[in-house]
Amino acid sequence: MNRVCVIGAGSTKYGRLKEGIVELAVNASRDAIKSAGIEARDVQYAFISNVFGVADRQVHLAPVIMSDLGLMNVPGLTVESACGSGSIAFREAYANVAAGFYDVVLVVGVEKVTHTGTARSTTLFSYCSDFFYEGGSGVSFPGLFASMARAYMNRYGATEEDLAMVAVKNHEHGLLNPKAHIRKRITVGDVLESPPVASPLKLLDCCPFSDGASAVILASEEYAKSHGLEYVQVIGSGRGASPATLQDREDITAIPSTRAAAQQAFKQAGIEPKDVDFAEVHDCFTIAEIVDVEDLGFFPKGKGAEAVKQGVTRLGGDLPINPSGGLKSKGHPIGATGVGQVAEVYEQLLGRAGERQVKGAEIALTHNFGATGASCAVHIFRRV
Amino acid sequence: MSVSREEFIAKLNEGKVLLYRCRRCSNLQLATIVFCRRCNSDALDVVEEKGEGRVVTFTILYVPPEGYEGYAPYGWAVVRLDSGVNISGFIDVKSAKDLPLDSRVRIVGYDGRGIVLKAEDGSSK
Repeated sequence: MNRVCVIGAGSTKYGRLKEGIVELAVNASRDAIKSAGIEARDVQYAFISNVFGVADRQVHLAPVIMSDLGLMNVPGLTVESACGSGSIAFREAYANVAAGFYDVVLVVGVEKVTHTGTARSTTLFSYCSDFFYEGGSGVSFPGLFASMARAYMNRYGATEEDLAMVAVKNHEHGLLNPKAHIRKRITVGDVLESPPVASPLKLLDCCPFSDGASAVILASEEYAKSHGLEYVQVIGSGRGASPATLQDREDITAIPSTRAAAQQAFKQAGIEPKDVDFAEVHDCFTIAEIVDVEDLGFFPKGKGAEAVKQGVTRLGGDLPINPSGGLKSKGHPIGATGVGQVAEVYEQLLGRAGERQVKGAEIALTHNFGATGASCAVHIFRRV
Repeated sequence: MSVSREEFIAKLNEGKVLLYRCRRCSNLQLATIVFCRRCNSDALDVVEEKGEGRVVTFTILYVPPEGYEGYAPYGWAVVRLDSGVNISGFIDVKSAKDLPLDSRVRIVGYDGRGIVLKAEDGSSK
Protein backbone atom coordinates (compact mmCIF):
# COMPACT_ATOMS: atom_id res chain seq x y z
CA MET A 1 0.00 0.00 0.00
CA ASN A 2 1.16 3.50 -0.78
CA ARG A 3 1.42 5.92 2.13
CA VAL A 4 -1.31 8.55 1.98
CA CYS A 5 -1.41 12.13 3.20
CA VAL A 6 -3.67 15.17 3.24
CA ILE A 7 -2.21 18.07 1.28
CA GLY A 8 -5.00 20.62 1.44
CA ALA A 9 -8.31 21.53 3.06
CA GLY A 10 -11.06 24.09 2.72
CA SER A 11 -14.43 24.75 4.33
CA THR A 12 -17.28 27.16 3.93
CA LYS A 13 -18.83 28.60 7.04
CA TYR A 14 -21.41 26.19 8.51
CA GLY A 15 -24.87 27.53 9.24
CA ARG A 16 -28.02 28.68 7.56
CA LEU A 17 -26.46 29.70 4.25
CA LYS A 18 -27.84 31.40 1.15
CA GLU A 19 -25.67 29.55 -1.38
CA GLY A 20 -26.99 26.42 -3.09
CA ILE A 21 -25.54 22.94 -2.79
CA VAL A 22 -23.29 23.17 -5.87
CA GLU A 23 -21.87 26.60 -5.05
CA LEU A 24 -21.06 25.47 -1.49
CA ALA A 25 -19.28 22.34 -2.73
CA VAL A 26 -17.38 24.25 -5.41
CA ASN A 27 -16.24 26.96 -2.99
CA ALA A 28 -14.90 24.47 -0.45
CA SER A 29 -13.19 22.45 -3.22
CA ARG A 30 -11.57 25.58 -4.70
CA ASP A 31 -10.22 26.56 -1.28
CA ALA A 32 -8.87 23.04 -0.69
CA ILE A 33 -7.14 22.96 -4.08
CA LYS A 34 -5.61 26.38 -3.48
CA SER A 35 -4.44 25.47 0.02
CA ALA A 36 -2.75 22.35 -1.38
CA GLY A 37 -0.60 24.44 -3.73
CA ILE A 38 -1.56 22.30 -6.73
CA GLU A 39 -3.33 23.09 -9.99
CA ALA A 40 -6.99 22.12 -10.22
CA ARG A 41 -6.09 19.81 -13.13
CA ASP A 42 -3.81 17.78 -10.85
CA VAL A 43 -6.97 16.28 -9.27
CA GLN A 44 -7.53 12.85 -10.84
CA TYR A 45 -10.72 11.68 -9.12
CA ALA A 46 -13.31 12.97 -6.67
CA PHE A 47 -15.52 11.52 -3.96
CA ILE A 48 -18.57 13.62 -3.19
CA SER A 49 -20.19 13.10 0.19
CA ASN A 50 -23.86 14.07 0.30
CA VAL A 51 -27.15 12.73 1.63
CA PHE A 52 -30.01 15.08 0.71
CA GLY A 53 -29.05 16.55 -2.66
CA VAL A 54 -32.60 15.89 -3.71
CA ALA A 55 -33.74 18.50 -1.14
CA ASP A 56 -31.86 21.16 -3.13
CA ARG A 57 -32.88 19.65 -6.49
CA GLN A 58 -29.45 18.30 -7.42
CA VAL A 59 -28.30 14.72 -7.47
CA HIS A 60 -25.55 13.29 -9.75
CA LEU A 61 -23.38 15.84 -8.01
CA ALA A 62 -19.93 14.75 -9.18
CA PRO A 63 -20.12 15.88 -12.82
CA VAL A 64 -21.85 19.12 -11.85
CA ILE A 65 -19.29 20.04 -9.18
CA MET A 66 -16.34 18.94 -11.31
CA SER A 67 -17.62 20.89 -14.32
CA ASP A 68 -17.90 24.04 -12.21
CA LEU A 69 -14.32 23.46 -11.05
CA GLY A 70 -13.32 23.46 -14.72
CA LEU A 71 -12.54 19.73 -14.51
CA MET A 72 -15.09 18.41 -17.01
CA ASN A 73 -13.04 15.29 -17.74
CA VAL A 74 -12.37 14.25 -14.12
CA PRO A 75 -14.68 11.49 -12.86
CA GLY A 76 -16.23 11.29 -9.43
CA LEU A 77 -18.71 9.38 -7.33
CA THR A 78 -21.23 10.31 -4.66
CA VAL A 79 -20.97 8.42 -1.36
CA GLU A 80 -23.99 8.25 0.96
CA SER A 81 -23.71 6.84 4.47
CA ALA A 82 -26.06 9.18 6.34
CA CYS A 83 -24.22 11.49 8.77
CA GLY A 84 -21.07 9.38 8.32
CA SER A 85 -20.85 10.02 4.57
CA GLY A 86 -17.88 12.38 4.90
CA SER A 87 -15.53 10.07 6.77
CA ILE A 88 -16.61 7.12 4.66
CA ALA A 89 -15.97 9.06 1.42
CA PHE A 90 -12.58 9.96 2.89
CA ARG A 91 -11.94 6.28 3.59
CA GLU A 92 -12.76 5.39 -0.04
CA ALA A 93 -10.40 8.10 -1.26
CA TYR A 94 -7.73 6.82 1.13
CA ALA A 95 -8.16 3.28 -0.21
CA ASN A 96 -7.90 4.44 -3.82
CA VAL A 97 -4.72 6.41 -3.21
CA ALA A 98 -3.22 3.67 -1.03
CA ALA A 99 -3.95 1.13 -3.77
CA GLY A 100 -2.22 3.29 -6.36
CA PHE A 101 -5.25 3.94 -8.58
CA TYR A 102 -4.77 7.71 -8.22
CA ASP A 103 -2.11 10.06 -6.86
CA VAL A 104 -4.36 13.03 -6.10
CA VAL A 105 -8.03 12.77 -5.04
CA LEU A 106 -10.53 15.42 -3.96
CA VAL A 107 -13.06 14.61 -1.23
CA VAL A 108 -15.82 17.17 -0.89
CA GLY A 109 -18.75 16.87 1.48
CA VAL A 110 -21.77 19.12 1.22
CA GLU A 111 -25.27 19.48 2.64
CA LYS A 112 -28.07 21.96 2.11
CA VAL A 113 -31.19 21.38 4.21
CA THR A 114 -32.05 24.39 6.36
CA HIS A 115 -34.39 25.84 3.71
CA THR A 116 -36.68 22.84 4.21
CA GLY A 117 -37.54 23.75 7.82
CA THR A 118 -37.50 21.71 11.02
CA ALA A 119 -40.36 19.29 10.31
CA ARG A 120 -39.13 18.39 6.82
CA SER A 121 -35.50 18.12 7.94
CA THR A 122 -36.54 15.92 10.88
CA THR A 123 -38.43 13.70 8.44
CA LEU A 124 -35.60 13.56 5.88
CA PHE A 125 -33.10 12.62 8.57
CA SER A 126 -35.43 9.88 9.84
CA TYR A 127 -34.98 8.15 6.46
CA CYS A 128 -31.41 7.39 7.62
CA SER A 129 -32.77 4.97 10.26
CA ASP A 130 -34.17 1.48 9.53
CA PHE A 131 -37.41 3.17 8.56
CA PHE A 132 -39.80 0.26 9.17
CA TYR A 133 -38.92 -0.04 12.85
CA GLU A 134 -37.68 3.46 13.65
CA GLY A 135 -38.47 6.55 11.50
CA GLY A 136 -41.63 4.91 10.19
CA SER A 137 -42.77 4.22 13.74
CA GLY A 138 -42.50 7.88 14.71
CA VAL A 139 -39.01 8.25 16.10
CA SER A 140 -36.69 11.09 15.08
CA PHE A 141 -32.90 11.08 15.43
CA PRO A 142 -33.10 13.09 18.64
CA GLY A 143 -35.52 10.38 19.80
CA LEU A 144 -33.14 7.54 18.95
CA PHE A 145 -30.25 9.19 20.79
CA ALA A 146 -32.61 10.07 23.64
CA SER A 147 -33.40 6.36 23.92
CA MET A 148 -29.66 5.64 24.13
CA ALA A 149 -29.33 8.43 26.71
CA ARG A 150 -32.10 7.02 28.91
CA ALA A 151 -30.51 3.56 28.85
CA TYR A 152 -27.06 5.05 29.57
CA MET A 153 -28.26 7.25 32.43
CA ASN A 154 -30.15 4.33 33.95
CA ARG A 155 -27.12 2.04 33.80
CA TYR A 156 -24.28 4.38 34.72
CA GLY A 157 -26.02 7.00 36.83
CA ALA A 158 -25.15 9.90 34.51
CA THR A 159 -27.45 12.91 34.85
CA GLU A 160 -28.99 15.48 32.53
CA GLU A 161 -26.48 17.95 33.99
CA ASP A 162 -23.62 15.66 32.94
CA LEU A 163 -24.92 15.59 29.37
CA ALA A 164 -25.31 19.37 29.41
CA MET A 165 -21.61 19.78 30.25
CA VAL A 166 -20.74 18.39 26.81
CA ALA A 167 -22.80 21.11 25.15
CA VAL A 168 -21.27 23.82 27.34
CA LYS A 169 -17.73 22.67 26.49
CA ASN A 170 -18.29 22.38 22.75
CA HIS A 171 -19.94 25.80 22.62
CA GLU A 172 -16.88 27.24 24.40
CA HIS A 173 -14.72 25.74 21.66
CA GLY A 174 -17.04 26.89 18.88
CA LEU A 175 -16.78 30.48 20.10
CA LEU A 176 -13.16 30.31 18.92
CA ASN A 177 -14.06 28.99 15.46
CA PRO A 178 -15.03 31.72 12.97
CA LYS A 179 -16.73 29.17 10.72
CA ALA A 180 -18.94 27.64 13.44
CA HIS A 181 -22.72 27.66 13.03
CA ILE A 182 -23.64 28.56 16.62
CA ARG A 183 -21.12 30.83 18.31
CA LYS A 184 -22.73 31.38 21.65
CA ARG A 185 -21.64 30.71 25.22
CA ILE A 186 -24.19 28.62 27.11
CA THR A 187 -24.52 27.36 30.68
CA VAL A 188 -25.70 24.06 32.11
CA GLY A 189 -28.84 25.94 33.20
CA ASP A 190 -29.47 27.08 29.62
CA VAL A 191 -29.33 23.48 28.42
CA LEU A 192 -31.62 22.18 31.18
CA GLU A 193 -34.15 24.96 30.58
CA SER A 194 -34.19 24.63 26.78
CA PRO A 195 -37.37 23.11 25.33
CA PRO A 196 -37.65 19.31 25.27
CA VAL A 197 -37.09 17.74 21.84
CA ALA A 198 -37.14 14.05 22.75
CA SER A 199 -36.85 13.35 26.44
CA PRO A 200 -34.40 13.26 28.12
CA LEU A 201 -32.76 15.39 25.37
CA LYS A 202 -33.51 19.08 25.10
CA LEU A 203 -32.87 21.54 22.30
CA LEU A 204 -29.37 22.44 23.53
CA ASP A 205 -28.43 18.74 23.76
CA CYS A 206 -28.90 18.58 19.98
CA CYS A 207 -26.70 19.74 17.14
CA PRO A 208 -28.35 22.16 14.70
CA PHE A 209 -29.47 21.44 11.17
CA SER A 210 -26.74 23.13 9.11
CA ASP A 211 -25.77 23.90 5.54
CA GLY A 212 -22.12 23.86 4.54
CA ALA A 213 -19.31 22.20 2.66
CA SER A 214 -15.81 20.97 3.46
CA ALA A 215 -13.16 19.59 1.13
CA VAL A 216 -9.78 17.94 1.48
CA ILE A 217 -7.16 16.78 -1.01
CA LEU A 218 -5.48 13.41 -0.51
CA ALA A 219 -2.25 12.44 -2.23
CA SER A 220 0.30 9.70 -2.09
CA GLU A 221 3.14 10.71 0.21
CA GLU A 222 5.50 10.17 -2.70
CA TYR A 223 3.56 12.71 -4.78
CA ALA A 224 3.50 15.23 -1.93
CA LYS A 225 7.24 14.86 -1.30
CA SER A 226 8.25 15.00 -4.93
CA HIS A 227 6.18 18.18 -5.42
CA GLY A 228 7.47 19.81 -2.23
CA LEU A 229 3.98 20.07 -0.67
CA GLU A 230 3.09 20.53 3.00
CA TYR A 231 1.07 17.65 4.37
CA VAL A 232 -0.15 15.60 7.30
CA GLN A 233 0.08 11.81 7.20
CA VAL A 234 -2.88 9.45 7.43
CA ILE A 235 -1.48 6.72 9.68
CA GLY A 236 -4.63 4.74 10.44
CA SER A 237 -7.97 4.09 8.75
CA GLY A 238 -10.77 1.90 10.08
CA ARG A 239 -14.36 1.04 9.20
CA GLY A 240 -17.06 -0.52 11.30
CA ALA A 241 -20.71 -1.51 11.10
CA SER A 242 -23.44 -1.94 13.70
CA PRO A 243 -26.97 -3.35 13.55
CA ALA A 244 -29.05 -0.71 11.75
CA THR A 245 -31.64 -0.61 14.53
CA LEU A 246 -31.24 0.13 18.22
CA GLN A 247 -33.46 -2.88 18.99
CA ASP A 248 -30.80 -5.20 17.54
CA ARG A 249 -27.91 -3.86 19.63
CA GLU A 250 -26.71 -6.13 22.39
CA ASP A 251 -25.83 -3.00 24.37
CA ILE A 252 -27.80 0.16 23.64
CA THR A 253 -25.23 2.26 25.54
CA ALA A 254 -22.36 1.48 23.13
CA ILE A 255 -21.77 1.72 19.39
CA PRO A 256 -20.04 -1.40 18.00
CA SER A 257 -19.00 0.26 14.72
CA THR A 258 -16.96 2.84 16.63
CA ARG A 259 -15.12 0.12 18.51
CA ALA A 260 -14.37 -1.86 15.35
CA ALA A 261 -13.23 1.17 13.33
CA ALA A 262 -11.08 2.45 16.18
CA GLN A 263 -9.41 -0.92 16.76
CA GLN A 264 -8.46 -1.16 13.07
CA ALA A 265 -7.18 2.41 12.92
CA PHE A 266 -5.13 2.13 16.12
CA LYS A 267 -3.67 -1.19 14.99
CA GLN A 268 -2.64 0.19 11.62
CA ALA A 269 -1.17 3.33 13.20
CA GLY A 270 0.70 1.24 15.78
CA ILE A 271 -0.42 3.56 18.58
CA GLU A 272 -2.81 3.47 21.52
CA PRO A 273 -5.61 5.83 22.56
CA LYS A 274 -3.29 7.49 25.12
CA ASP A 275 -1.00 8.61 22.28
CA VAL A 276 -3.71 10.83 20.72
CA ASP A 277 -3.31 14.57 21.36
CA PHE A 278 -6.85 15.58 20.40
CA ALA A 279 -9.90 14.15 18.63
CA GLU A 280 -12.84 15.33 16.58
CA VAL A 281 -15.72 12.97 17.44
CA HIS A 282 -19.33 12.60 16.37
CA ASP A 283 -21.26 14.64 18.97
CA CYS A 284 -24.58 14.91 17.12
CA PHE A 285 -26.14 14.87 20.59
CA THR A 286 -24.49 15.35 23.97
CA ILE A 287 -24.95 11.66 24.85
CA ALA A 288 -23.12 10.70 21.65
CA GLU A 289 -19.85 12.37 22.69
CA ILE A 290 -19.94 10.55 26.03
CA VAL A 291 -20.50 7.19 24.34
CA ASP A 292 -17.91 7.96 21.62
CA VAL A 293 -15.02 8.75 23.95
CA GLU A 294 -15.65 5.45 25.74
CA ASP A 295 -15.98 3.35 22.58
CA LEU A 296 -12.82 4.96 21.14
CA GLY A 297 -10.92 3.70 24.18
CA PHE A 298 -10.12 7.11 25.67
CA PHE A 299 -12.08 6.44 28.87
CA PRO A 300 -13.51 3.30 30.52
CA LYS A 301 -17.16 2.42 29.90
CA GLY A 302 -19.42 4.55 32.08
CA LYS A 303 -16.71 7.16 32.74
CA GLY A 304 -17.16 9.41 29.68
CA ALA A 305 -19.34 11.89 31.57
CA GLU A 306 -16.79 12.09 34.38
CA ALA A 307 -14.08 13.13 31.90
CA VAL A 308 -16.19 16.06 30.72
CA LYS A 309 -17.01 17.13 34.28
CA GLN A 310 -13.34 17.14 35.22
CA GLY A 311 -12.37 19.28 32.22
CA VAL A 312 -10.11 16.62 30.71
CA THR A 313 -11.72 17.06 27.29
CA ARG A 314 -11.68 20.88 27.19
CA LEU A 315 -9.18 22.85 25.15
CA GLY A 316 -6.19 23.03 27.46
CA GLY A 317 -7.16 19.70 29.10
CA ASP A 318 -5.23 16.46 28.71
CA LEU A 319 -7.31 15.27 25.75
CA PRO A 320 -9.25 18.05 23.99
CA ILE A 321 -12.35 16.61 22.30
CA ASN A 322 -13.89 18.62 19.48
CA PRO A 323 -11.70 21.73 19.57
CA SER A 324 -13.57 22.88 16.44
CA GLY A 325 -16.80 23.09 18.45
CA GLY A 326 -17.94 19.71 17.15
CA LEU A 327 -21.24 19.02 15.49
CA LYS A 328 -22.91 20.66 18.48
CA SER A 329 -21.52 24.17 17.93
CA LYS A 330 -19.57 24.12 14.67
CA GLY A 331 -22.65 22.61 13.06
CA HIS A 332 -23.68 19.43 11.26
CA PRO A 333 -24.15 19.72 7.49
CA ILE A 334 -24.29 15.97 7.42
CA GLY A 335 -22.48 15.24 4.15
CA ALA A 336 -19.75 17.73 5.07
CA THR A 337 -19.21 16.82 8.72
CA GLY A 338 -16.73 13.95 8.36
CA VAL A 339 -14.70 15.86 5.79
CA GLY A 340 -14.79 18.96 7.99
CA GLN A 341 -13.26 16.96 10.83
CA VAL A 342 -10.30 16.12 8.59
CA ALA A 343 -10.04 19.78 7.55
CA GLU A 344 -9.88 20.71 11.26
CA VAL A 345 -7.14 18.15 11.89
CA TYR A 346 -5.17 19.42 8.87
CA GLU A 347 -5.34 22.99 10.19
CA GLN A 348 -4.49 21.94 13.74
CA LEU A 349 -1.54 19.72 12.87
CA LEU A 350 -0.08 22.44 10.66
CA GLY A 351 -0.49 24.96 13.50
CA ARG A 352 -3.05 27.08 11.62
CA ALA A 353 -6.05 26.76 13.95
CA GLY A 354 -5.79 30.24 15.45
CA GLU A 355 -7.39 30.77 18.85
CA ARG A 356 -8.54 27.14 19.12
CA GLN A 357 -5.08 25.73 18.38
CA VAL A 358 -4.25 22.58 20.37
CA LYS A 359 -0.70 23.45 21.30
CA GLY A 360 1.97 20.97 20.30
CA ALA A 361 -0.50 18.51 18.75
CA GLU A 362 1.22 15.75 16.77
CA ILE A 363 -1.37 12.97 16.57
CA ALA A 364 -5.09 13.49 16.00
CA LEU A 365 -8.10 11.24 15.49
CA THR A 366 -11.36 11.75 13.62
CA HIS A 367 -14.51 9.75 14.36
CA ASN A 368 -17.72 10.12 12.38
CA PHE A 369 -20.72 7.82 12.06
CA GLY A 370 -23.96 7.45 10.16
CA ALA A 371 -27.36 7.28 11.88
CA THR A 372 -27.08 5.79 15.40
CA GLY A 373 -23.64 4.49 14.47
CA ALA A 374 -24.81 1.89 11.96
CA SER A 375 -21.79 2.89 9.84
CA CYS A 376 -18.59 4.45 11.12
CA ALA A 377 -15.10 5.44 10.06
CA VAL A 378 -12.14 6.41 12.24
CA HIS A 379 -8.92 7.97 10.95
CA ILE A 380 -5.66 8.82 12.67
CA PHE A 381 -3.30 11.53 11.44
CA ARG A 382 0.24 12.57 12.27
CA ARG A 383 2.17 15.78 11.83
CA VAL A 384 5.29 15.20 9.76
CA MET B 1 -40.84 -20.78 3.96
CA SER B 2 -39.94 -17.14 4.03
CA VAL B 3 -42.07 -14.38 5.49
CA SER B 4 -42.91 -11.35 3.34
CA ARG B 5 -43.09 -7.90 4.90
CA GLU B 6 -46.81 -7.95 4.12
CA GLU B 7 -47.30 -11.14 6.16
CA PHE B 8 -45.18 -9.75 8.98
CA ILE B 9 -47.38 -6.64 9.11
CA ALA B 10 -50.59 -8.70 8.95
CA LYS B 11 -49.50 -10.53 12.12
CA LEU B 12 -48.63 -7.26 13.87
CA ASN B 13 -52.25 -6.29 13.25
CA GLU B 14 -53.25 -9.41 15.21
CA GLY B 15 -50.94 -8.32 18.03
CA LYS B 16 -48.42 -11.01 17.09
CA VAL B 17 -44.83 -11.07 15.90
CA LEU B 18 -43.38 -13.55 13.40
CA LEU B 19 -39.97 -14.88 14.36
CA TYR B 20 -37.53 -17.27 12.74
CA ARG B 21 -36.04 -20.06 14.81
CA CYS B 22 -32.79 -21.37 13.39
CA ARG B 23 -32.84 -25.14 12.82
CA ARG B 24 -29.07 -25.31 13.27
CA CYS B 25 -28.45 -23.19 16.38
CA SER B 26 -31.98 -22.48 17.75
CA ASN B 27 -31.43 -18.71 17.64
CA LEU B 28 -34.65 -16.69 17.57
CA GLN B 29 -34.85 -13.46 15.54
CA LEU B 30 -37.42 -11.22 13.87
CA ALA B 31 -38.67 -12.73 10.61
CA THR B 32 -37.50 -9.65 8.69
CA ILE B 33 -33.89 -10.92 8.91
CA VAL B 34 -33.27 -13.62 6.28
CA PHE B 35 -30.14 -15.42 7.51
CA CYS B 36 -29.57 -16.52 11.09
CA ARG B 37 -27.72 -13.66 12.81
CA ARG B 38 -25.77 -16.11 14.93
CA CYS B 39 -24.74 -18.91 12.55
CA ASN B 40 -25.83 -17.57 9.11
CA SER B 41 -27.97 -20.60 8.33
CA ASP B 42 -30.99 -20.07 6.13
CA ALA B 43 -32.76 -23.14 7.50
CA LEU B 44 -35.27 -21.20 9.55
CA ASP B 45 -38.65 -22.19 10.95
CA VAL B 46 -41.38 -19.60 11.37
CA VAL B 47 -42.60 -19.14 14.94
CA GLU B 48 -45.49 -16.95 16.03
CA GLU B 49 -45.12 -15.00 19.25
CA LYS B 50 -47.64 -13.00 21.26
CA GLY B 51 -46.38 -9.42 20.96
CA GLU B 52 -45.89 -8.83 24.67
CA GLY B 53 -42.83 -7.78 26.58
CA ARG B 54 -41.04 -5.17 28.67
CA VAL B 55 -39.67 -1.69 27.95
CA VAL B 56 -35.88 -1.65 27.46
CA THR B 57 -35.66 2.07 26.76
CA PHE B 58 -37.84 4.82 25.32
CA THR B 59 -38.20 8.50 24.53
CA ILE B 60 -41.05 10.98 24.51
CA LEU B 61 -41.05 12.99 21.28
CA TYR B 62 -41.99 16.65 21.44
CA VAL B 63 -40.69 17.66 17.98
CA PRO B 64 -42.23 15.11 15.63
CA PRO B 65 -41.46 14.20 12.03
CA GLU B 66 -44.14 14.91 9.43
CA GLY B 67 -47.34 12.95 9.92
CA TYR B 68 -47.03 12.73 13.69
CA GLU B 69 -47.90 16.35 14.54
CA GLY B 70 -51.34 15.40 15.85
CA TYR B 71 -49.93 12.86 18.32
CA ALA B 72 -47.11 14.86 19.97
CA PRO B 73 -46.03 14.39 22.62
CA TYR B 74 -45.90 10.62 22.17
CA GLY B 75 -43.50 7.80 22.93
CA TRP B 76 -41.30 5.43 20.99
CA ALA B 77 -39.94 2.42 22.82
CA VAL B 78 -37.57 -0.50 22.39
CA VAL B 79 -39.23 -3.59 23.84
CA ARG B 80 -37.86 -7.00 24.81
CA LEU B 81 -40.53 -9.52 23.88
CA ASP B 82 -41.08 -12.45 26.22
CA SER B 83 -39.12 -14.63 23.77
CA GLY B 84 -36.08 -12.39 24.33
CA VAL B 85 -36.27 -10.89 20.83
CA ASN B 86 -36.39 -7.08 20.67
CA ILE B 87 -38.75 -4.90 18.64
CA SER B 88 -39.62 -1.21 18.76
CA GLY B 89 -42.51 1.07 17.96
CA PHE B 90 -44.80 4.01 18.59
CA ILE B 91 -46.51 4.17 21.98
CA ASP B 92 -49.20 6.60 22.95
CA VAL B 93 -47.92 7.90 26.28
CA LYS B 94 -47.61 11.60 27.01
CA SER B 95 -45.01 11.68 29.75
CA ALA B 96 -41.92 9.73 30.80
CA LYS B 97 -43.63 9.11 34.15
CA ASP B 98 -46.24 6.99 32.34
CA LEU B 99 -43.74 4.44 31.03
CA PRO B 100 -41.28 3.15 33.65
CA LEU B 101 -38.37 1.10 32.31
CA ASP B 102 -39.19 -2.60 32.47
CA SER B 103 -42.95 -1.97 32.46
CA ARG B 104 -45.11 -4.32 30.40
CA VAL B 105 -46.31 -3.34 26.93
CA ARG B 106 -47.89 -5.15 24.01
CA ILE B 107 -48.20 -4.72 20.28
CA VAL B 108 -51.67 -3.65 19.19
CA GLY B 109 -51.21 -3.20 15.46
CA TYR B 110 -49.55 -1.51 12.51
CA ASP B 111 -50.98 1.64 10.93
CA GLY B 112 -49.97 5.11 9.75
CA ARG B 113 -47.99 5.50 12.98
CA GLY B 114 -45.97 2.35 12.25
CA ILE B 115 -45.72 -0.49 14.77
CA VAL B 116 -48.06 0.52 17.59
CA LEU B 117 -47.48 -0.51 21.19
CA LYS B 118 -49.70 -0.06 24.21
CA ALA B 119 -48.79 0.09 27.88
CA GLU B 120 -50.58 -2.58 29.89
CA ASP B 121 -52.85 -0.96 32.43
CA GLY B 122 -51.34 -0.55 35.88
CA SER B 123 -48.66 -3.08 35.04
CA SER B 124 -45.50 -1.26 35.92
CA LYS B 125 -42.97 -3.81 37.18
